[in-house]
Amino acid sequence: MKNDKVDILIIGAGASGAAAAWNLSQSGYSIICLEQGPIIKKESYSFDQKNWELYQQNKFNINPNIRKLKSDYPIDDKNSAISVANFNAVGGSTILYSGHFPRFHPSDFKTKKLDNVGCDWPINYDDLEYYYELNDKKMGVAGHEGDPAYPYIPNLLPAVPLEYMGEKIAKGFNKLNWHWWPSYSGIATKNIKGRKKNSRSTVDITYWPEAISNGVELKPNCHVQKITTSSISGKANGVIYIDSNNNKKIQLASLIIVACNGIGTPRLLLNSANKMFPKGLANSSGLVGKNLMLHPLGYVEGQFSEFLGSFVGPQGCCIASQEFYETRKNKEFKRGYTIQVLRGAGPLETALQIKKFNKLSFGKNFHKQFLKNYGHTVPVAVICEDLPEKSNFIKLDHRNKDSNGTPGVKINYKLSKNSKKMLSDGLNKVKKLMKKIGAKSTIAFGPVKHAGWHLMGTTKMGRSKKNSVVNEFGQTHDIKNLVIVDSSIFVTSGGVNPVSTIQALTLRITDDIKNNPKKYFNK
Amino acid sequence: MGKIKTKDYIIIKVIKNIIDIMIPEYNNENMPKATSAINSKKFIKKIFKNKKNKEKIIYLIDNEIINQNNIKKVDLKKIALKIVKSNIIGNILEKILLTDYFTSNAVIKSLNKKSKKKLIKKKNNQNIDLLLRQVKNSEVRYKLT
Repeated sequence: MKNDKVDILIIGAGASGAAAAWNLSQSGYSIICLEQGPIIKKESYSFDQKNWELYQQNKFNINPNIRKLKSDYPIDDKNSAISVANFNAVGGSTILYSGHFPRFHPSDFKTKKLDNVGCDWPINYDDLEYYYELNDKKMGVAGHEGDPAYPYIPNLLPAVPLEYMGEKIAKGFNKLNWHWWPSYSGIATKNIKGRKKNSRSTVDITYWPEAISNGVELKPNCHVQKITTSSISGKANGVIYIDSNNNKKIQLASLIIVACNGIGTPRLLLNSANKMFPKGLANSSGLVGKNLMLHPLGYVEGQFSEFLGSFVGPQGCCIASQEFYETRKNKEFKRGYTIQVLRGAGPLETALQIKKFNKLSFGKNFHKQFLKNYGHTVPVAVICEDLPEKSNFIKLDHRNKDSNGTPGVKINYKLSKNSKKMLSDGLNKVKKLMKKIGAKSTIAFGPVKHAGWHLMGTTKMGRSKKNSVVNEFGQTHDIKNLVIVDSSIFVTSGGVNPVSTIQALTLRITDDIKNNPKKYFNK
Repeated sequence: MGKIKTKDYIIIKVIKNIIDIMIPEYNNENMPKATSAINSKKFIKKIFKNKKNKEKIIYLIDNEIINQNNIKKVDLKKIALKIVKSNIIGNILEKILLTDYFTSNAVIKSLNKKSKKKLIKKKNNQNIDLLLRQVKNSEVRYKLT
């Protein structure tokens, strides 16, 4: 069944799809957004909710292979050191993210020029600065001004309190004379219209309400299987999708924007192969699905005799250190990492963790052992910059299909030598920090298997059609009315959480669509 | 029919005793025993969802009560203790038990109360600008391109 043709069709209602919908909704175009997941009620995923730890174990598990919801597709990660973490719903992975909201650094866009590794982006930090600010305002980002690790970042909401544990660690950083700064956090630390105080900045409550009231039609539970192209012009002309009642439908559009993340986007492009584009859409370079970057994550946990109440405060949003972010002289690896101080685990996670490490036994000592750990641990993550490698890729998995019969995804991903050395350096540095602040014991390991939140690089941006998939405005080199706005267009990964950069890029791209429609529209 | 009812009752009682041995009350810190915190009926239902586990548990309990002359006079606590000591049942029950216990109202309430009390005694909210003074006075940390 064919629906009426629209001007713009957005596929995916997550971080980038929402920002695209909002920005374009002010321009008078007819816009539809198809999202494979449902609308999630705010109350059901609140981190303040009593049973959030319980839900994290099953229906809000970060791993789609464990959740296995109707909206999820299978991801075979047997050949990957890191498993994918995501969420498919209106709001996308922001539904489950911690809200850690740092920007990329200027050097992240020029790693080739500065350090002779990776590739340079066709844009730089200055091109995105205005959009970072606009996005911060729309999303609501808390932080502290004056951070020497960044160009000046204005208009932040009050920073998330460090709490007792954070202050203790901050003092440790000071003793070592290392950089640290209160986390940039997507959290409404003061009253904002339409939001609860201290709510996380998820796009279902930031961008979507305004986009919908401006006329964007958001259709949840609609799973896009293929993007179709005209057999005459080769331009994209619509999509085939399965709607919420399991009916196969066609949606025609003049311009198609793909916002399905670094795994979902190449999956869709590859699955849309046809006679004119036998290798998949926008894939004349052969790079769709290649250069997958996942941010290898190291984990260090310090155990303290003192009760720190380390679980107090929003998960993931405490302190970030950029002391080792840039390439350092006399190091065996290039580029660097962020040290991200997290918060201690809740009671259930604490119990499950210490049971796993045989530090909790049932019987008369059960409570003593539990209380010795609960609130006594400081968890810290090391987020390593991942450089693009063609040998890290995703491909379609025709053996494992989703509930609609669309092929799943197979991932091949290995840590490079550079990443391994970087990770090891990061773990050692955090162990040093733990020692400085008086940890009685420390565990450290990496890469953490279930930590592939940041899915980047699989339709990379560049100037040349030969060695990139899209141009600096996300427009595919091969099909002018097919645009990609998610993290798959990243050239390099930086060493920070990507959502702020994903959304800034999206706003820049969609501004260009508004300002130069002739470049894009198939009319 | 009557026998089956009696046996079911015993099985439920033994499981309740088992989980209270695994998680006993801890008066010093006001932590409840397992059956005071969780809904035992729902817990047993979850455990028995897995047929193999159900069979294993019933087999273990059956084994202990089979030689008793008067089933109604069996010392269920003693049986529970014996089963716990066998180290078989812990693995079957532990994940669901920990999940139910540490997401129960009673436990969360008790932990929150305790934490607030402990943290209030500690100095908190030190002036952030004071803490950051050293970092702020350091040189720019990012590379210009």
